[in-house]
Amino acid sequence: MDIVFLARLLLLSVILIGLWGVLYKKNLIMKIIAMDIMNTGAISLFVLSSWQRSRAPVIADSTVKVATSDPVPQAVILTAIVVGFSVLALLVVYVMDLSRYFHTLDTDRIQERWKS
Amino acid sequence: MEELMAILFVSLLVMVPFFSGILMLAGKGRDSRILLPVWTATALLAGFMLVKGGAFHVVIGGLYGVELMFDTFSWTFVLMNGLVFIGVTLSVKKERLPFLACPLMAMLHGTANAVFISYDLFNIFICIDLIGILAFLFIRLGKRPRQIWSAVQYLIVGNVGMILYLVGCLYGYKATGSFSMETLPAIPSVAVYLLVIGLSVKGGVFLAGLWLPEAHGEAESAVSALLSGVIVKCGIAPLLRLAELSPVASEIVPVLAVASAIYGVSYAVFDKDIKKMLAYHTISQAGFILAVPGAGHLYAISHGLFKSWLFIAAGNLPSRDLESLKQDGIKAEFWLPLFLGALAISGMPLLGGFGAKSIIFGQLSGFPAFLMYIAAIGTAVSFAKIVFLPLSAGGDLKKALSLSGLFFLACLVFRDIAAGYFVVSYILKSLVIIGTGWAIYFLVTSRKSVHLPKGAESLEHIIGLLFIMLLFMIGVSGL
Amino acid sequence: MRIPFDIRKAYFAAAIVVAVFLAIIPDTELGREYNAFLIAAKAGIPNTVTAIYLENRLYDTMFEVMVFSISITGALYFLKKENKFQLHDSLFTDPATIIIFRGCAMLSFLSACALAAVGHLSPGGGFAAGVAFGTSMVIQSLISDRNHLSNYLSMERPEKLEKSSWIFILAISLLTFSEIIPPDGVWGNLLSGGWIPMLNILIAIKVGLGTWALSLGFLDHKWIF
Repeated sequence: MDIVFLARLLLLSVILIGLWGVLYKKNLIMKIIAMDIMNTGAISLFVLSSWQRSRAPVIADSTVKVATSDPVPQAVILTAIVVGFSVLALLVVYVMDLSRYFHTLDTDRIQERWKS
Repeated sequence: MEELMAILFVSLLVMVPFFSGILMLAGKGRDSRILLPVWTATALLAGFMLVKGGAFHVVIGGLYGVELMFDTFSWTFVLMNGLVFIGVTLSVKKERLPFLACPLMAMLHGTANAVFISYDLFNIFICIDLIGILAFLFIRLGKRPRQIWSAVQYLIVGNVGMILYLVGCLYGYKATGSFSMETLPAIPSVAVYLLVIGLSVKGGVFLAGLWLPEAHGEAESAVSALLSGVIVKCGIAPLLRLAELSPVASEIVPVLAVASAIYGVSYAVFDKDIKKMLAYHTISQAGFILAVPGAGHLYAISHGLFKSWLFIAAGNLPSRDLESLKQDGIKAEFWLPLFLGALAISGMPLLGGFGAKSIIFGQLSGFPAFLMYIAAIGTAVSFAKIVFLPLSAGGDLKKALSLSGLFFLACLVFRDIAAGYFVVSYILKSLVIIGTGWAIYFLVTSRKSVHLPKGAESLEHIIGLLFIMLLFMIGVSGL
Repeated sequence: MRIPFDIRKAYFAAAIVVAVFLAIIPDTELGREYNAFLIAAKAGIPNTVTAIYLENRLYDTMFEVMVFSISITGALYFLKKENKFQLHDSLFTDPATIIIFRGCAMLSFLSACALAAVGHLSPGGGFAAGVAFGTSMVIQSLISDRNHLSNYLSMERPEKLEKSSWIFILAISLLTFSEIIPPDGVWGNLLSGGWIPMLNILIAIKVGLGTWALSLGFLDHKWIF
């Protein structure tokens, strides 16, 4: 049982927990938080995949070839973190106005009032 | 030399729209006609490169950089982008636009260009996320409260889809060490299925695209035109590339395409709201585009043109309900663009749809071809509802074709002539399809109507169905 | 419509099966340990993560800056519309809290400057600096009288700074794509690494002003219901 395999199982279950929240929670804010948890799980999977059993990817001396962890997934996932945060901010703004118009945050009741 | 050309193209296709967007945000202008030169430049560059031919790809940034590909495929989509934006701008010039509309249009144009020229999986992720945010802002611009809920559902479903795509990207990187699409054949098949599902959400394919009817039903007509014309293509274009490059994807994408075509058409035939019907047709036409991955870009350019024309024409109508329109009739000046658009999508020769459908049917055979013929007949049945709407008195036929209508008509006619399938057998086939469709309309569907279940169109169901589809794909490929 | 309980269990079960299929994919031994060395050798700065996202994959970072800016612009557009609600009195009035908050705000602001300035030599960078700057401004807003504060920390002048830093980021990105880069300095120096320190500072300004404006927008808005 490799530690990386266990960590990967843990992060996949984080994504599943987020999915559970999106499917089963009725409150809109809870759904958005659960979606953010899924996002966090996916991002952490990227960071996990950069681990190479050695040090952080900061090179002290450019002439000495040392083994470090892989910086490419880490750099690439910084972008995804910012994107996730932006989507979350916009969703919260919309939900605030939505709650004012429909006077509820419950998705079933919003769906009923929206249809009528 | 190639890198210099690539930088030039990137600056013209992506940076110039972004700069114009930022300048319009800083200034106070609300006239969208200022942006017409930008879109004309895009369309002209794409047209020139299509005629010139020659494909090349470039990596920007050196080691682990972003790979871009400039070939016929990308230039066709870029040309479609430019033409659709020109048409939509010409149609909204008389209205008073909200402040954010023009900058958002410019940025949407730049980002769509970026998706079409991109050859890198992670870059496509970022660009599609940006397009999702832009669409989210666009849907709400009409300031009606109902639009907020459609927009929120769209963004939540889209974001979950993109998270699945991201996990697929990760497994692709772990297997091959690069994000470039050249490495697609070596990626494990589960990762490819995740990529396909993520792109299907944005592209409105089969069950993943069930957010389309509600989003289109509430947005303004120009926004719906852009949604169906450009934004949905930003999900479909990478799917076409995936289907060509990866053997795993090339088995699964045509199946999704046929399912999407039949599903969309069945719901469209019985729908009475004109904008929802057009939205269901977008789901079905996405299936047509994906049916033959090698030739999908040629269908996409026709579809972008006639679908956005139809949405703009439908936005001018006095009411959205087809029953009331059947009783009251519509004026001639509104009827003509709708009539021409409906004929175009049904596949009438010389109106854009004919060349596109002939290309698809020319390359399909066997059982999928039979199902696609059924979907084409269904399209004709459904649009017969529009073709045979009664005309009301009054109305001026001379006012019928505005500048944007003339533009779309000219592009579609040129498209059909350039496709060049004017052989008697193809013309006969398309006329038979249209005739059968109209006959079925008169005999069957104008009498009865069937209520198909629409319960699957809510948030939880769409997300859950994504996983059912994933399970199905894994199961079928494993057996 | 009432969702029958069975269907969501089926969805979740399907998701678990897909996750199991994902977990059993074996790792390939690709030898990615020397990536960082190769990248640092070309970029000329010690922090290879910053070198990747500010030079090798600058195309992606450019879109990320667009995502961030557009979402802040859109959020502010839809927040400013109605229901503005000024916090007239400050939320915390006892002196101990005020002193602690002021200290935290100052520390946050200083760390923002440090992260932006030496982001290419040690872990940090423009985004972290921007968030730290936004945090310091929010903390400051919570303890001061808002009307008084808006006299000398208003949001009108920074708007031009925000737009111009946005345009500069795009322009420098274009220069980097065309390989027009200032020469590499001495390794480990503050001015080494081409455009990277400049980009760090610009991104810090952009993200800092954006989070500041967004947080003030949220603080001023009437809450739910």
